[in-house]
Formats: sequence, C-alpha cells, structure tokens
Amino acid sequence: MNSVNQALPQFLGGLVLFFLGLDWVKSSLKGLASRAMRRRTQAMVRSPVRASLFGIGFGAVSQSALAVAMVLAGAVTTGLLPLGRALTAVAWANVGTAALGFLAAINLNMTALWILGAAGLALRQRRLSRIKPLLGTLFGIAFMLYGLVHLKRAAEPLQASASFAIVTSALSSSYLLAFLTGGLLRLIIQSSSGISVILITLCGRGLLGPELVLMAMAGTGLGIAGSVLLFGRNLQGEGLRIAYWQGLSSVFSSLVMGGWCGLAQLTGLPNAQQLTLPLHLSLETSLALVFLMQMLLYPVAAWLAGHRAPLWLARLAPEAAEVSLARPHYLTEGAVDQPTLALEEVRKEQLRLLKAVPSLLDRARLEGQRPAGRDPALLAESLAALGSEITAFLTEALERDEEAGDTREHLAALQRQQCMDELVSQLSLLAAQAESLPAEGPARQLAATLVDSTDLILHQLLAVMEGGEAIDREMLAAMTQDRGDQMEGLRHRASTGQFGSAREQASVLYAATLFERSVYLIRRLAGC
Amino acid sequence: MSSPSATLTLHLHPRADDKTAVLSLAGRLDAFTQTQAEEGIARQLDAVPGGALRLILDCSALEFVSSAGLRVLLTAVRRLKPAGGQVILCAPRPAVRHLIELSGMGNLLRTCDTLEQALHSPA
Repeated sequence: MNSVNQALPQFLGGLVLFFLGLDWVKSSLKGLASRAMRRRTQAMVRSPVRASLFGIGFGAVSQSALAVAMVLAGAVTTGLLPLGRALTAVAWANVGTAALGFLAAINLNMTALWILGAAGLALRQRRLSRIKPLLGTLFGIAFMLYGLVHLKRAAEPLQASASFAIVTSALSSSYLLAFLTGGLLRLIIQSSSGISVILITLCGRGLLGPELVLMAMAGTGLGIAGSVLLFGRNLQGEGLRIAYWQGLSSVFSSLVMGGWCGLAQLTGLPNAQQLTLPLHLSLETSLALVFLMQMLLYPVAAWLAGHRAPLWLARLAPEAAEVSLARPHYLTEGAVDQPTLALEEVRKEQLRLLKAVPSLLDRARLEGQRPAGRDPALLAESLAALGSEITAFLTEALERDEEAGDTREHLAALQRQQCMDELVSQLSLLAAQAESLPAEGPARQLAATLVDSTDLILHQLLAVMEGGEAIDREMLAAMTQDRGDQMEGLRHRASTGQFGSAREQASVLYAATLFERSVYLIRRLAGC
Repeated sequence: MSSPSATLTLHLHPRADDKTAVLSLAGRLDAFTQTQAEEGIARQLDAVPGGALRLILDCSALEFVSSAGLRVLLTAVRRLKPAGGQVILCAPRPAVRHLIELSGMGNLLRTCDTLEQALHSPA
C-alpha cells in the first residue's frame, strides 16, 4: 500500500511533467510561423519528397502535426505554397510524431537529465537568445522524457493498486470502450503521440493489455477529428482546410486500425502488433511500430486522395471574401531587395487594405442602411493579418535597405502601417460599441452619427490616398480639424444623463473617444 | 443591403440668379437615393450658364442623411470650391445638422436657417 501511495503522486507528477514539456515544445515553436520561417519553409518543401522529409522532421521535433499545419497554413495563405504540397507535408508530419513512441522503449533517465540541464542553462544565457526557440524545444523534450522516466517508475507499484485494476478491467471488457476512451483522451490531451507513449509505457509495465492499447491508440484518430469539429470554427481559410484534412485523414487511419484490431479479435486473424512478433522486438517497441503504422496511414490517405484533396477541401471550407482579403495581392518576394518596387507594392497593398476598412463600420449602421453578408470579426481579423504581412514585408525590406543608407521612405511606410493597424482596431471597437447599444434611443442615434461621420472622413481619406488632387487633401484637412469643443460638448451631454442609462452613457463616452482617436489617425495617414 | 425604406424627392427651383442653383431635398438621402441626388444636383448646376458658384439645398423636409448621402454633398463642394463657390444648406433638421458638424462637413459648407436667408446671403 505504501509503495502505491508513493507511486500515485509520482505517476501524476510524471504525467504533468510530460505534458508541460509538450506545451513547452509547442509554445517554443510558435515563433516559427513568422514570415522569414515561411520563406525558408517554401524552399524546404519545393518537391513532394522534400515536403515529406520536412513533415517527418518537423513532426518529430514539434510532436504536433497541427503545429506543422499552422506554419504551412500561413505559407499557403500568402501564396508561397500550393495547398496540395502543404497537405503532403502535414500527412508526413504525423509519421514524424511517431518517433516519440519509441522513446517509451529506451532508458531515458540520464539522457533526460543531461538535456534538461544543458538546455535549461543555455536558456538563461542572453547571448543565445537568437536560438531561444530551439533551446526551448530541447528543454521541452527533456521535460517530456523526464516525465516518462517517472511514469515508468510509478507504473510497477501501481499494477498492484485495486483502483487501477478496476479501471483496466473496465476498459478490457469492451474494445469499443477502449477505442472511444482513446478518442476522448485525445480530445482532452490534444496529443496522439503523447497519449500513445503513455499507453505504451503502461502496457510495457503490465498495467494495460496490448489489444487494449491498440484500440485506444486507434481511437485517438477519432479524437483528432472531434477536435477539428470542436475547435475548427476558430480557424479560417487555408488553416481550416488543412485542419479538415487532418481530421479526415485521422478518421481514415482510426477506422482502418480500429477495424483491423476488431476484425482480428472476431476472426482470430493476427492484429497489427502480432504481425511484428517475428521481429522479436520488445512489447513497447512493437507497439511503437504499430503507432508508426497508424501514422503512415496519413500519407496513404494523401496518396489516395491525390490532387482531388484541394478540390474537396475547397468545397468543404469555401473561402470567404474576408479571408481572401488577408492574403497580400501585391507583395512579391523578389521586391524585398528592390527599394522602389517594394515601396510601390506596399503602397498598393496599403490602399487595398484601406479600401476594405469602411466595411468594418457596416455592422453599426442603423437598420435599413446595413449591407448584408460580411462577418465583422473575420473582417477585422483579416485586416489585422494583412497589416502584419505588410509590416513584416516592410521590416524585411528595411533591414536590406539599411545597408544602402536611406531608410526614410521605408520608415514612413512602416509608420503609415502602424496608423492603419491602430485605425482597424479603433474602428472595430467603435462599431462593436455602437452595435451593443439598444436599437432605439438617443445613445444609439449618436453612435450611428459617429459611425457615419467616420465613414465619410474615411472615404475622403481614400480619395486622397488614391492620388487625389490638392483640393481633396484640403477638404480632408478641413474635415479633420480639431473638434475638441464639439467632443467636450458631447461628453457634457453624456455626463448630464441625456443618453439614457449609465451603461449607455458610458458607451457613448467610449465611442466618442474612439471616434476622436480615429479622426486623428486618419489625419495622420493623410499627412495633413 | 436591406430594401430601401423611403425615397428621396428632388424639387428643382427656377434659377435664383446668374450664379446660384437651388434645389429642395425631401425624404431620405442615403445609399439608395445617392445616385438620384447626384444626378439632380449635377443637372441643376449644369443648367447655370458659365457654371454655378452657389448651390443652395433646402433640407427642411430632409428626414435622414447617411454617410453615403453626405458624399453627394461632398461631391458638390468639390465641384464648386476650386472656383471659389459654396454649398449652402437651409434649415437642416437637428439630426442632419449634428451629422454635418461631427463629420467636419460644417467646415466645408454653410448652413442657414431659412431659404430666404440663404438666397440673400453674400456669395
């Protein structure tokens, strides 16, 4: 009993260390979605073979096909990579994640401690900050390994525990239950390889039977599909399509492996693990091999679907106009090294962004004046994404141009972009604030007036930015003159309760501040 | 956009003098009636031989103006301003006046309380 009491916290501690490590790896890899990384990725996945190798390598290090998917989704969205190539890389990334399964079969204690110590110390060195994502990944992997060490140590005493026996016997009673448990675990834990390693570890220590582990591992695929359905609504565009692809392939691999295991049980045919018996491998290694087989079904699915996959996905997740807005239309990679061309492309892209900005206000217009269709949140997100693309492009062009000396125009364009980004955010807030007010009443009327005023000024800004004449700039300057007295009067009316309830008054005050700031930003953008 | 809930009526006044065009607007001036208003104003301005210098818009019966509607006025201002001309709005209702003030249009055009006042105001 004492040993069980000691083993349980060690088991739980091991689990926590393992998943903390996994989280660490994932967060360290987040920085890889940058523009520079996307460009390197484009070079790395130039051919299908290179895409497969990239997928395996990245999947093995990140232990997340989803991380690979997100890096590639950015590249596909910006037109650097065709969707079909990205699907190949993601399919093979699943195979890469199977590498973790083999860790359960080797003695990790010293390895884990060495990596943990070295990567941990290196992370504290400021001089190594440039390779922080890499060190963070190593540190995370070491944490995972150390967690596995504790899981293994805790497993044997737990075998004697009555509670564990109840859980395992319940699971053993039904293959379907084990299959569904695998899916449920994947929904909660969000790492198929992580779950498989733990299942393999527990099986190696005799806590779970191999058939049970096979079914639970197969069930994780169903969990991935469930995750895509549950969390996919937060994604859009290419990210959503790749996520759908991952979900569909997971269902395929899950059904094949689960079906095989079930059929073997019913007919007496060998299951996947029994097929490996002639190789005389340890139980853990043979189960890791089965997990690898399961992961190999992802590229098989990609191969079977072939070039039809992008078409299916386009039908499954059609691209909204807002999403297409997020994709730069004018920025080209070659222009980064040519200052004049780069600035011209940025000017066109910024104008394109600006043309879409008035639509942010549509939701806040009064009934009968509201255009239908556009999703305001998605629109704001897309405009912000396009803004980030322009900023990244300009930053890169600026770095290249710094050597040449004159960076004034780049800096001006960068500053203009910062203004636009802030304007997008202010207008989204203004529209949301106006929309939140009760449909009838003076507060809503005033908010609509602020929205209409902003819209008019924005259109005048567009006239200026589209190469308008001096008269256009002069008119915009007049329209955006200091309106401190007006706004003060408005605030006074709000403070004397002329706009309804306290909440409505607060909303009016906030909307007025957002309006004032927006007008200031528009004035700055026009250089008035 | 949802269906238009109201219409705009334009009343073209006879020419007031050599350089002034006068027009009355009634109803709603918004995205639905924008083109109608633009065409009416252009027609009235074109009717002045040698080009008008003043556009007087009687807004006393104008119930609603949206930003799309204001753009019509902005176009008129843009046409007249380079030659030193101006747009004068007569008797706009409080909501319309408020929009004109907040949008900064008040700095580009003049407002008068009555049509008479506008007709007799100095050019």
